[in-house]
Amino acid sequence: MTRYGMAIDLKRCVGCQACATACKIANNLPKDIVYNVVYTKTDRDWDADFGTAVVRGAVANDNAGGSFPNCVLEFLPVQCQHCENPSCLRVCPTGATQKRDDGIVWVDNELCIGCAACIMACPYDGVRSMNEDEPEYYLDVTVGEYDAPAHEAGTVEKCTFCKNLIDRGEVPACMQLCMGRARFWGDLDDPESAVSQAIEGRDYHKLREGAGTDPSVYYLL
Amino acid sequence: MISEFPLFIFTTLGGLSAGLVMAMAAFPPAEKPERPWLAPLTALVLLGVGMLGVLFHLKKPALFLLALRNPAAGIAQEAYCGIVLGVLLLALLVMSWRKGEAPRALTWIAAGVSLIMAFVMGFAYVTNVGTAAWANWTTVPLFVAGDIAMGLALWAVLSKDALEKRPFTLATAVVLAVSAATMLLTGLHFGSVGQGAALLYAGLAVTLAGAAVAVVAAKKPAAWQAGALIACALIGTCLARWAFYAASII
Ligand code: SF4
Ligand code: SF4
Ligand code: SF4
Repeated sequence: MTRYGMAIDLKRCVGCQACATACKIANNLPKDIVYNVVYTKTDRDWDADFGTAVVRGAVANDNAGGSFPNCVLEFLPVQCQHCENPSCLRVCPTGATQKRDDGIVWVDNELCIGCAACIMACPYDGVRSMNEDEPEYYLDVTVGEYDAPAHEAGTVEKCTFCKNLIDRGEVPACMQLCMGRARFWGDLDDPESAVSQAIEGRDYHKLREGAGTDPSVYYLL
Repeated sequence: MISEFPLFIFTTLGGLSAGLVMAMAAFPPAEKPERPWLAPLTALVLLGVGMLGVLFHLKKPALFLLALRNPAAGIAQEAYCGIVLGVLLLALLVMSWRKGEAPRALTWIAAGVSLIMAFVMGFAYVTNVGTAAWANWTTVPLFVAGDIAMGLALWAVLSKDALEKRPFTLATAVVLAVSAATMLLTGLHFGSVGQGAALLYAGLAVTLAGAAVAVVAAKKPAAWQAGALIACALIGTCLARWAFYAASII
């Protein structure tokens, strides 16, 4: 059975923010909404705090940590992990948060009542965002895909794994623009898929596995 | 102000209502009370205000009925319990008003639903694995013991003879002490995840003072003790709940 997942090669990610930008534009995201944040880390403890990012208030995206000659500068792109066992799904009282047979976890904005239970239940801080008020945009024109997700006041949004693109045979927008070729996408159950091939033989890390969510995003080390 | 103020109102008033119903069932008055409708009415009003309060937590309160769709979700389970308890309390109120008393079995059923609701209110937070301070087993006893402690203290005020019964005052002392212990355990857990626990410990001290009042009442009942008990139980539990919701990640 198809089980979509993504691998992100941390050795190849150069922190260029192209995936974050691609996501923002392809999904016509409002000002305060981000699905995909590329964090800067000054350590390699992937499960501790994710690090800093301009979109989260940092002054710059590329500050190394440590002291010479032991400096550390890593980039960690974080979006919804499309967990096998999503903690957001169970707590959603309306059934707005749903998981498709192919593993994609998404939010039906027509059912969402903005209770925020999913935000509090997700162990990956910041991957879900609440549209507190009527969404505002940087541009006066609508950008991105014609079937980009709706953005509605009082509802929660997150990475859709670009299901609109997947369903017409394309790959996620963040992958398309990744200049470091750090992202791999496909069916985790198909050993021939790009994602399975990328993971094959590599050390990898899945974020915060202690939470029991079993993410579908593999970070290649 | 805490971002989860509506939830604070819901679990404090709803929990107080649930605790009162449990106290009513466990320590019924020896004689027919003059105003048998007073306790069920109080419980119903507290529950109603608490459930109205929770609507303010929703960004789209008009669609609140959608929150009943997923029975596995804590919010839905809280709503089911609240609705069933509301109907039972209404029945208790009508019967005690019309006939002077309500069947004991019905009070016990309402008490059972209340206990389940207190448990569900706490357990809903344990499943919030994204909020480290909440996702711990101590959250369930913190809520259940706090609710029963508040309920017993309120029953001391509403019931004419509760304070004169030694089993009641001893039970109240024990529950308040257990509630204080759950605040200590929760405070230790908060500390282990880097969350401030000063208000939890303040709640603990006030709740322990309540337990001391109950011990004094067990030896020598006096009129002032009911007021002191409800003040200590309410303030202690509210301080602990405030600290709890202050740990919210939103
Ligand atoms: S990362 Fe969070 S929002 Fe995404 S599926 Fe997992 S628990 Fe749900
Ligand atoms: S905010 Fe919306 S998606 Fe999240 S749990 Fe509540 S109803 Fe579900
Ligand atoms: S998969 Fe699509 S929605 Fe998700 S982070 Fe990438 S571009 Fe954004």
